[in-house]
Amino acid sequence: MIEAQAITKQFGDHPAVSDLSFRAEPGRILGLLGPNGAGKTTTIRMIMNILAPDSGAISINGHRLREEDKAIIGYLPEERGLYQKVSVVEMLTYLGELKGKSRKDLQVSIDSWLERFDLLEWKDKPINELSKGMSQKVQFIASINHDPSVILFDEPFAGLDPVSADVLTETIMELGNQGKTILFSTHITEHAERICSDILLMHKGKKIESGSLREIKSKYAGNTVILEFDGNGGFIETLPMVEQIVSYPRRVEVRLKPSAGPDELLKAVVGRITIQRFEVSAPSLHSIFVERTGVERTGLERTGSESP
Amino acid sequence: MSKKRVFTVMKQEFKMTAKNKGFIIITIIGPFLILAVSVLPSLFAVSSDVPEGTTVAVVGADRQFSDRLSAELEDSNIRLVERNTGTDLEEQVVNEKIHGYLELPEQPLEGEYRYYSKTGTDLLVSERMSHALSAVIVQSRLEQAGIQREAISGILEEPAFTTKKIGSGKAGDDSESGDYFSVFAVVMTFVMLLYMTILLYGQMIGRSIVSEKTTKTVEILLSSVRPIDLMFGKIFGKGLAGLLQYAIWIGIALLITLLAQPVSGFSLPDALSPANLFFLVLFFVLAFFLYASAYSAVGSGAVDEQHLGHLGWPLIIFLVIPLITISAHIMNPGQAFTVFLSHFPMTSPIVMLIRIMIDTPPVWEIITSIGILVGTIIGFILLAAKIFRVGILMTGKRFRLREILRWVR
Repeated sequence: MIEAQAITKQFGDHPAVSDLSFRAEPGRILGLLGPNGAGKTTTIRMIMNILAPDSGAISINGHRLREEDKAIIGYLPEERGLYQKVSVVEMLTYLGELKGKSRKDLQVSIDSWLERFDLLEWKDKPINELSKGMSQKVQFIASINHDPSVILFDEPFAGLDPVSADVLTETIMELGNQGKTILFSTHITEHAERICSDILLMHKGKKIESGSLREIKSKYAGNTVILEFDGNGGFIETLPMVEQIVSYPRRVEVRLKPSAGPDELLKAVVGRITIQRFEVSAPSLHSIFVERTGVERTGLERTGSESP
Repeated sequence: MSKKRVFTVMKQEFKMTAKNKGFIIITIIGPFLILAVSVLPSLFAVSSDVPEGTTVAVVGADRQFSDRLSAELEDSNIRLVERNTGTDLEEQVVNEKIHGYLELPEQPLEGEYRYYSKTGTDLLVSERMSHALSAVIVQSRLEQAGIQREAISGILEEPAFTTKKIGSGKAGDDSESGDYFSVFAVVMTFVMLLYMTILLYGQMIGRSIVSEKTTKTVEILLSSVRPIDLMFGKIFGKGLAGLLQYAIWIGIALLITLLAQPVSGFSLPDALSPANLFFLVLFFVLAFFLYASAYSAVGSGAVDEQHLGHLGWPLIIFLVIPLITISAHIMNPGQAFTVFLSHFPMTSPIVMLIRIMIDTPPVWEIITSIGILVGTIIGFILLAAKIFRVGILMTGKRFRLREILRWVR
């Protein structure tokens, strides 16, 4: 379990994290969601004791991070790399040994992880022969290879192709089901929505929303319409029943005024655009974020068309 | 400090260094390079004698004088020819018919003797000539003063004179004769070896620490080990690899020396007594780790290799100080300056070694000096860890030494 109480961190005049409290629990996956500069990495670094908070307290399993806790923590930092000239298996063995595991145990787990990530044939190749995506996967393996009970992933999907991202998603959910405490940060809402059981929405160092994904969704549920279409949908935002809108070229997510119903919107758009999809739904995290911050260009991305 | 983690880092660093292709190549070709460096100059030295058949003309000398001069030059390659006039001689020198010519003064034994040659830097011949001339003239003067010719060579013979050092260890140990050149040669070799080593390995350790930042492995490693464990592991892992390389080199060198001894007659200089050898190895290892730890501190503050070079230059200065003051220490090992430098950690390995080899410094001074060294090494490692801790997230921006020192406060 990770618990943060009113942590604050300033860099010069710039508040990176202000008065942030949250709790990540065993068996649950907490997603730290926010655009670049929201304070996600700073928060994770404070948990890892790389940065010290100016005020507030962080505890892991009930106490401040101690040296011996490092063996049960898995950490995938945002700034990550590997030694270039050593082989994949040597690198993973070294990092595992630093976590206190024996060579023998490590050989077994390394093989099974490499196989799962389709890297077994690269086992004895030097890291500098790997592609960027492959070495990202090796880094991911390094963070979980020692079977930690608390895991922190900082932007784990960065640089991965969709297939690898799926394997990663699957693995993270599996680790969550095994009862591990998992916290991960992302600026891609789709990833958060697929994996997380709990969400912490951050903006400019502050918490703007938190709770279980289901709670948050139901809190904002109601008259939200997702509309996909062909044609020029520029007029939609000027319609009277629209309270708030998130626009993409061929897709809008509309939050209607309380007085209006989805039918009115449908009537208003029929004939002016070719409708491909019309769905009354719970709002996406993205639109919740937009609603809570009032910022239209958020820096948050819906899908992982990558590079953070 | 976690010994297990330090050991794991050490093992990995040792492996990565020793398996490196460049390292293996240098280990293998190193002895040959050293052999080339030590043998080639002596080959040149042989050929840098006065070449055979060098002819020097003497102008206006009487028979007795030129005979004596010829006799003095007998064991050299210079052959004298007599000439009556100085005309044409210049032309003959230019045309290389003769090497040079000697012009005698009008007042023999008093005026100025002039030697003319094609180049003003004809040191080998002119020095030999001047030597022979002095001998002839002094002999002639003594004869004029009425001293028997037979007695002269006895008078001129230099008395036997050697310098013996009072043994610091066992009484009456005569083997430690600290004659200037023997000590100078040993110390100079030591200093050059140390200098090379430190430039090689010190910077290698510095670079390896910088590379944790440039390859971005630092945050991953620090999620498992403390900076201090990482520092100790890196310095000692790489250091052991370096020392292993030296052991291989020295082993090969000793083997060659032993095998070649019957032929070459080469033996170790007297200054390399077992006691001196012990201190030499001790101070070498201490100096090695001192600069390794100093470079790790510098590497912790640097963002890339270029920056490391900039931040590292003060260390080179400390290394150069004993190098340029070496004569002063050998001539006068008891002076306050030398005593100070033999305790100041950045210079003490070299200067204290000089003192031990020539002088007999008090044992407590040697112990103090070693103590300060060990303390400084640990201090540097702690400092490195602290700078590393702060410096990790400071990638990209180049800090000045002053700013980095502020982090540790």
